[in-house]
Amino acid sequence: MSRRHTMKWLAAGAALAVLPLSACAGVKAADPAGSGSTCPSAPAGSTVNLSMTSWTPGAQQNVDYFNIHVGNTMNPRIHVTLNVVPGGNAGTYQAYSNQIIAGNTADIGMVEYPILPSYRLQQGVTNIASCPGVAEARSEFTPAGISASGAGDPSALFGIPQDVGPLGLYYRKDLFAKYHIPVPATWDQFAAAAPKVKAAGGHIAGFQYGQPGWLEGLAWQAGARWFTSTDRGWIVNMTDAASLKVASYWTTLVRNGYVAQEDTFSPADWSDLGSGKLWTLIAPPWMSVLLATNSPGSAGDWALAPLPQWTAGQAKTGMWGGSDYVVWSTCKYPAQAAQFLLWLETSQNALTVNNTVGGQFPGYMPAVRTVPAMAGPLTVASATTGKPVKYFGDQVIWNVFTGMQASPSWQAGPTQSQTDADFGTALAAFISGSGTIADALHATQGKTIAAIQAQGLAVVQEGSH
Amino acid sequence: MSTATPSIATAKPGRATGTVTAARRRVVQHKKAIAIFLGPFLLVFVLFYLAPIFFAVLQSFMKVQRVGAFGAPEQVFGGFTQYSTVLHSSVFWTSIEHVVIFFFVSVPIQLITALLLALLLDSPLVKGKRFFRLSYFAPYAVPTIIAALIWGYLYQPQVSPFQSLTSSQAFGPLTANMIYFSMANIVFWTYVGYNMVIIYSALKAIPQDLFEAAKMDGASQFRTAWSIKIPLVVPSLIMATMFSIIGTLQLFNEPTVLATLTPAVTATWSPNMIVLATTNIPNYNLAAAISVMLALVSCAISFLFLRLTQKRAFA
Amino acid sequence: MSTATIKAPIRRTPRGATASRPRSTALTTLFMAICACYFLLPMWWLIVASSRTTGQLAADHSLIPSSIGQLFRNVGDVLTYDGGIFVRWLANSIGYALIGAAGATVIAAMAGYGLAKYVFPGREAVFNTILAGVLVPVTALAMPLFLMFSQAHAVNTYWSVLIPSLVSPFGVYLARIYAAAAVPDSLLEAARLDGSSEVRTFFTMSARLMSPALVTIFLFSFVGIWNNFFLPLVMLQNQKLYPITLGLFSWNTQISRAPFLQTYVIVGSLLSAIPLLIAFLLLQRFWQSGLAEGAVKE
Repeated sequence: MSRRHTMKWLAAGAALAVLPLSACAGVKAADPAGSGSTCPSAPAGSTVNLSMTSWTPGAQQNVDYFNIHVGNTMNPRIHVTLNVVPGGNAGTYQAYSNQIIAGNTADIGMVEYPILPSYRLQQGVTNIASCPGVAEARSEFTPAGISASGAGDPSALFGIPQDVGPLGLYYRKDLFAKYHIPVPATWDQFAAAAPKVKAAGGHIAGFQYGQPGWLEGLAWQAGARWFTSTDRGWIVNMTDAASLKVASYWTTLVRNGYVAQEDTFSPADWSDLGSGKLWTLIAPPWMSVLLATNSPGSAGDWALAPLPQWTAGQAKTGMWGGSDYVVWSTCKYPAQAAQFLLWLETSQNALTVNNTVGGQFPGYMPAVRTVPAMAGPLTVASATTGKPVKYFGDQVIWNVFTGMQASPSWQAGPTQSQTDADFGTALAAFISGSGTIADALHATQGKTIAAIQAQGLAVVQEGSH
Repeated sequence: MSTATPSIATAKPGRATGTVTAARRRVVQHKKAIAIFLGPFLLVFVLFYLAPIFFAVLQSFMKVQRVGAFGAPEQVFGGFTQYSTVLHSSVFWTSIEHVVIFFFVSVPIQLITALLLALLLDSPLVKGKRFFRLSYFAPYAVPTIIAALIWGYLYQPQVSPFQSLTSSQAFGPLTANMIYFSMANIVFWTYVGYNMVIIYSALKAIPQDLFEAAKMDGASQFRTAWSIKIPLVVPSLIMATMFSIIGTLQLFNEPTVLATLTPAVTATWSPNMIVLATTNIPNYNLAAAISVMLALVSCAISFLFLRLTQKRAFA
Repeated sequence: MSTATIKAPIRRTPRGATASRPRSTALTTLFMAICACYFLLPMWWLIVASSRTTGQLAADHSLIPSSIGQLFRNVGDVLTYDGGIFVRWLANSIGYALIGAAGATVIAAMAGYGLAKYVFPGREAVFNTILAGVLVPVTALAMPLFLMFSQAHAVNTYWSVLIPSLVSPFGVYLARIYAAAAVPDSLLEAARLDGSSEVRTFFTMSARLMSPALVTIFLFSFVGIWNNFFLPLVMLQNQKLYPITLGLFSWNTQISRAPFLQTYVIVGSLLSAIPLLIAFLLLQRFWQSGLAEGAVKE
């Protein structure tokens, strides 16, 4: 090819390269959480097809039921198609980000609470607060879940809470009884019981260093508030008194060898939980089915108690995980999406499936009264025998979770997944022997501030360094 | 159909004034054929190879600006902001350190073993050559990500058949002490056979008369190998080393799988994992800067390496 | 780039002493056998582990298969799970690799041939640019390609993985070297005198002369595309489009939620190795000679 031809091709390539760049600049609309936002609805008599992504067990069941029994009784009719995807952190969150850029997100997607703000930042979600039915239903959902679904804006709602993840204390009632150690109700009692458990040959808990959300939930319980969004930017404070209190508490427990270092969800972890090496598991409701499935040998030995408190008599907790279904900004008819989601999150049918198949604790508060499955003990099919087994005996574990409240003031940050990754790296350093958890908090805070600024956002106030 | 084409006119650049023909440029023959042969490749090459590089470079010089806590992003010129962030990032340098260490742990032994096995296969000392050639090459049939999954299982005490090895707390394959070796083992298992076949092919191409001369001189097998075979397969070794350099800098599959199994490998262990994690935030500009830096470093090292070994590589 | 002359690989009989030194032969063969055990062990373990249930996997760590019946049951489960998605993934991989490699080979061969046999201004500049492309890590291209494809609304499609696979700068390099060496100008001239067009000459004569290089390029591209993980990871969200690499990896990430997937990943890994292993066995002649030609030309 002659030189002239070569140049022509190069120029064409360069032009093509610049094209997407210019299209990227300023392509996204302004922040959709403005007051007075509308909620487009399909015309009466039409059929709306909604696409949805989820990784919850039971989602397909619910969608099938809806399509057959409920969707065509509505006007406009609604039909939902579900695309089952891997868990959020297993690639789906990255896929969502890619889809937002490509403009091909589905209509509805499952998102865990901590990640929602970053999708709001990417201009990827729609505010459904003004959609029919939503304002009335708001107050029936757990305040912490609603607050998280609004990504820090009390008047906005980008999704409907599916489940919440209040931390509770799963404990080996057989071991506590056998060694005559009272189940701790405060953190002081927990710390006092720790050496006794060690003397009995176990660890009072596992320190879940690979799950930053776990430690964040504990800071949440203590009253920390790491992120606050304001008109001018973000306040980042990961080193407030509450966080440092929690940090020093667990640093002491780990360094004294009273808690084991647990790689959550690993086969070793399940094995330790089943064998009695770990006497408690501080975890949310969704851990119940995972525990029952992965440690079948200890069925009947576990029970649930409220999370130990900093001040006796209180009933505070923090959340680890929990998810909602968001309405993506590509959804043409948010009114119908909201209508479907309200059904999904309040109907007895759907909530029963979520609870029995996924062990989920719904964000819809009346569910504990209206869903029969939640009035009884958790029964799962044993992984070894296949027969149904009451994993927690006759205890109705959901009542314990209902009895605690997570403060709605906690806010996730705009780059939460990066914060979590940095916190995880810092905790790995702590686990391998260097420094304290407070050091990890300081390090993570520094990196988080840089990450937020790298997004073009201002950090208006910082925690102490 | 066309008749025989005239030979290409080689006109000298016109210095003399004289006739017009003296200043005529060289005529390009077979223009249409050239366009047909080169067109398709150049089209996809420019569109899907050069354009993305160009685009990534452009993106790496931009940055994002927003208003408020959740404002929409606006791309503005950022100069070297992203590159400065990369160069100051300890995570980035740690990942470079990881792959550099990995290179020295993994590549020399891989190539030496491949060479040794190729020499042994080429010698009369081994029976059943075809079987060995096939079995050593077989791992190449397994994609590296799946090989990492398989070895991941072999490393986990819960399912591994090597209970005593994998259960060791301090020196098990998934501990921080051994993780480089465990990762190198996966790459070794997959690629030694492949490299061996390449070297073996080069050995087979050595002319017979060289060996006959050596035999007449009374050279032993070992001497023959040392003085004749090895020097003549050095070009293949150099190529293999160069591809190993490029491959090691791009290491992604093996640490990604191992990261799910052990805290000794973080989600930002290798540079490419950082690129993916950075786009997850999302911060495309920073990811582009990291990619560009990686590409530059990769090109530079390969270029330097080839320069150093130029004479031997293209013997 | 110097053009090396072709030397057909000479089939040599083993050199050196023939009847003597049985002991060193035995020792060396033993050493090679041990190495073979190392290389084959993981695949053997795959067979063994595939013959067990998930529960047995954790309990039984021997290297002896447990039950052939269970092996077949597992294979059946894997092939039918989730509407046969595994078979779909295999088919996708074969499709991406076959079509991609075939396409890449044809256009790389043509480009290399064009660069070798025709003279034009800027030829070396073009070739050097292409060669520089070999040194660029392909993972650096994935994200910009994603952004470009998303502008064209073509992400999450078969094309998004297929089209980038068609670019093989290394293939062009191999093709050029080989074409320069294997296709004599005199033959081309003769063809021209006979009235054959350039393109026809290429497809009827030159390509045949270049066939060992073509096979090498095809195999190189095929394995590269078959192994591809990063690009599909970035481009694809619809699991129906996944290649087998991404599919098995996605199953592996869901194991804590669905423990039976551990068995499926193991069985799936075994099944996924089979197509290429069979291909290697059948095409032995080609890849051994093809690589030889490639090696000689370097």
